[in-house]
Amino acid sequence: MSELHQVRKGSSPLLILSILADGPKHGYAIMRALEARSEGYFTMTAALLYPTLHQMEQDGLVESEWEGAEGTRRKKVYSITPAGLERLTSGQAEWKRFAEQLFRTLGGSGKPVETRSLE
Amino acid sequence: MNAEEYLTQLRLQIKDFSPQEQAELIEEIASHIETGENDPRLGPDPTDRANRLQAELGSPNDLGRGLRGVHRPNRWVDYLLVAIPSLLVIPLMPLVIVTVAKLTKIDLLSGMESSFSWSYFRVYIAFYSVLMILCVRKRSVSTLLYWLPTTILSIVALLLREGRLPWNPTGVEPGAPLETSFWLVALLALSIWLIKLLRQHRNEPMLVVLAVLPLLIAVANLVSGITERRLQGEQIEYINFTLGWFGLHQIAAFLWPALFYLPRQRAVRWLGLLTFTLPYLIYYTWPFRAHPLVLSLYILPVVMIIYVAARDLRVTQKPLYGR
Repeated sequence: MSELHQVRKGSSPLLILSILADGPKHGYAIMRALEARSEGYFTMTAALLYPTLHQMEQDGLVESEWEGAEGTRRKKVYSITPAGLERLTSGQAEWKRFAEQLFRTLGGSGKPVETRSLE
Repeated sequence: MNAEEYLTQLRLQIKDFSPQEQAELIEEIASHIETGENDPRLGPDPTDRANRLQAELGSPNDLGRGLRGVHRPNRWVDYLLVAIPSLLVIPLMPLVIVTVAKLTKIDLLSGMESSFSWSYFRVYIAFYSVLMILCVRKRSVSTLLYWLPTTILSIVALLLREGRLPWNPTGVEPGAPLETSFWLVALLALSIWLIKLLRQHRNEPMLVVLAVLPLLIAVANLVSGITERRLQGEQIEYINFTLGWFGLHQIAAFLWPALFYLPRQRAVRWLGLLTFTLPYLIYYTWPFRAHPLVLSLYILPVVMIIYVAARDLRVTQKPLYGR
């Protein structure tokens, strides 16, 4: 698994929380909203999305309830909890700082690393 | 792979979950599939949508593995949290108590019976409390639902032994009221916690049976003890076999958690719970064969396990996706 893939996978809970901050959604809608907001950059398979959602529910970051009219298939709708909102806020700040520092360190002299002399 | 095949594969991956958990997980994924199949954003025609959906769903094995990682982690930790204390620590506790008394020069020998049993119950309750804290930290409900009833029973045994309950079968002088109040409050708090956990997990019959078993066995032991005292001159002839009660109990203490916590197959886990009752069944039913109440109290847990297991393992043939 590439490093970037690991980073993307590790940011899944935060991405899901940011989607749910806009309002409760079921799993399919979370997937679509994430794809739309990131213009296709972030996509998740069900194998990543649903275990992540269930773990987040166990951790108290989201809660769920079943919704559905009689005679139709029920949908499990997730919503963000106050603990989830707190995690989202702190996570956004951490990632912002991380990204700033990363680009500052990578950018350095402004030249790509391989062309910089190691004097 | 169509929706029915996908969900059937997924169900195989989560077959060790409770029927309620399986039904809810399958329903959640089925609704995902249904929504996707009807979503024009996935493509103009049904075949395009089905192909895109299939790619997004990924492998049912991967999904099942992910769900097991969330809902069934730490099987070995659970096993060790029960087996190690049961096999190693608890049987050695009396030795530890006596050794500590010798080292600290506390005189357990004069009035040994009362001093020793005073320490005995309290040390065990303290130890069980540490185990419960570990279970909570490890988020292991299945081990908490073993140690919590065990702790409750130890407190009840302490209250009975020290004459701290209105019904005082031992005839012992009651202990100090302040300490009695402490134990009663602890008993109440732990009982409320147990009831709350049982309500929360009422859809997982295995956990409910696990929590109830020690309580049923304790009632059976209490009634058999009272029956034996009331018989006075008549001896209850326990079967003498090589291992003895201790050996039998230790084998079961190793075996039942191994069968209950480690495997994935529900049938094997039910067998683990049955193994829990075996020492009592083997040791007490023959000697008390002429006493139907005692006999039925020892057989009741076995009947309960078989009945609940049979219902739990009943296979449903309904299609998973079609309605």
